[in-house]
Amino acid sequence: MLAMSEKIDLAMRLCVPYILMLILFLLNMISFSTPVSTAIEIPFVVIIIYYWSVYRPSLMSPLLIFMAGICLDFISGLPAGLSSFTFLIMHNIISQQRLFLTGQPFMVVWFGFVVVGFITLFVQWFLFGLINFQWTPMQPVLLAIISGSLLFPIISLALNLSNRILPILPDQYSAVK
Amino acid sequence: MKRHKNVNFSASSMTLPLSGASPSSILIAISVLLMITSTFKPNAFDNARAGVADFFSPALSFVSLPFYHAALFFQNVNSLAQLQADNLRLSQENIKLREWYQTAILLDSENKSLRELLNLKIDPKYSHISARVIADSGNTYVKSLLANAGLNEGVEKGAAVLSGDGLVGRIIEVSDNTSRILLASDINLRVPVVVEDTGQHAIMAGTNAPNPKLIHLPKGSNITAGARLITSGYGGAYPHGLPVGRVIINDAGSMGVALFSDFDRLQIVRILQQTNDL
Repeated sequence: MLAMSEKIDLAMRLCVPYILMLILFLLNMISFSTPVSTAIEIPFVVIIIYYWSVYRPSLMSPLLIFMAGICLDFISGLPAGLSSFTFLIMHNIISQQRLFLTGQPFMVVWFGFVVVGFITLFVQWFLFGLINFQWTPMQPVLLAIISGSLLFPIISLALNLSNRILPILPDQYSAVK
Repeated sequence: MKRHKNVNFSASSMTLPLSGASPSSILIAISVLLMITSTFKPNAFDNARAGVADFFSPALSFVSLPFYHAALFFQNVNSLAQLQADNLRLSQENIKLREWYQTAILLDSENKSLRELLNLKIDPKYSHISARVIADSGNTYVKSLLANAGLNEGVEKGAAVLSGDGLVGRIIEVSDNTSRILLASDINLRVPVVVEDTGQHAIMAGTNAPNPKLIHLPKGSNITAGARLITSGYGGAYPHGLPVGRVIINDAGSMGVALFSDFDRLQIVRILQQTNDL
C-alpha cells in the first residue's frame, strides 16, 4: 500500500505528461501571428498521439483521443467527428505496429511517424473534401506533414523527458502481450 | 460467476461484456455518426462548439499572449526604420489634409441639407468592436479564427469583420466570450463585390488558397488587373463600400483577388456592429 506522500509524488509525476499534452494541444490551435507567417501549421496533436501510442499507450486511451479530437473539431470549426475518427484510426494502426516500433532505433520510429502522419492527414483531407463536396488544395497538407516531421525529434525529446519521470507501471493498456 | 482467463487489457482490443465491441470501435462508430450528422446538418453542434470554444478561450488567450507580444515586438522593430521617412511624409500630408478637412465640413453640411430636401433613407451606421485573435483554426481545411469577443460584447452572428487594411471575413459562430470568424479565403465564403472604378459586380469566392477567385462576372467584362474591389452590399450580409482587395489575373487567365488583409499577421480585428442612432 502506497503512503500518502508516495501517492502525491505519483500523481505529480503523472501530471507532467498530461500538462505537456495540454500545452501542445493548445499550441495546435493558437495563432502564430509572427513575422514569419502562419502558413505552416504544425500537427502537434498527431505527434502526441503517435509518440504516446508507441511508448506509453496507457497515457493515450481511446476515450482521451476521442475527446481531444472532438474538442479540436469544435474549436477549429471542422466537421464534428472528423479528427476523432482519423486519430482513433491512427491509434489503432500504431497499436498493431507497436511491438515492432518500440524495438527499433529512433530513425525508424521517426520514419514511422512520417508514414502514419501522412496517412492521417491525407485521410482527414479526403474526408473533409467528401463532406464539403469539394477538395481543398493539397499543398497545406503536405506542408503540415513536412513541418510535423521536422519538429518530431524536438517534441519527442520533450515527451521523452516527461516519460522518464513516470514510474514504471504495468502498462495495462499495452498492445504488447 | 465465470472468470475469464488470459484477459486482454489492450485498449484497442479490450472487449465490453455486453456488446463484444472494443471501446475504440465504439468511439470510431460514434465519430462516424457525428461526421454524418455534420454533413447533413452542419449547424447541429453549434451550441456545443460555442461551449467548447468558451471553455478553452481563457487557456488559449493565456498561451497565445507570448506569441502576440513577440509579434508586436518584431513589428515594432521592423517599423522603426520607416518611422523617420513616414514622419516627414505625414507632416506634408497633414498640411494638405487640413485644407481638405475644411472642404469636407462644407460638403457634409451641404449633404445633410440635400438629404433632408430629398427625404433620402440613408444607410445604417456602423460602429465596431475590437477583438484580439486568440486562435487560428490550426488546420489546413477550414480558414477561420477565434476572437476574444462574443455575445457579452455585443457581437452578432453574420457581422462583417475588418482589419486595418480591409475585409477579413464574417462571424459564423458566437458564444458568450468568443466568436469564430470565417476568413474571406475560406472555401465556403462568398462575398458580393463591385469594381470601384467601373461599377461591375461579381462574387468573390474563397478557395482555401491565399487568393480567392472572382466568379459570376458579366460577359464581356473588361476588368483590369489592379482594379480595386469593395463590397457591393448586395444581399445585405456586408455593408456597401468595405475595402476587399485588388484584382489579379492568374497565369491561366482567370481572375483572382489579392486581399488587402494579411491573415498571417492579424492581431486585432474590428467586428462591425449596426447602431440605431442614425
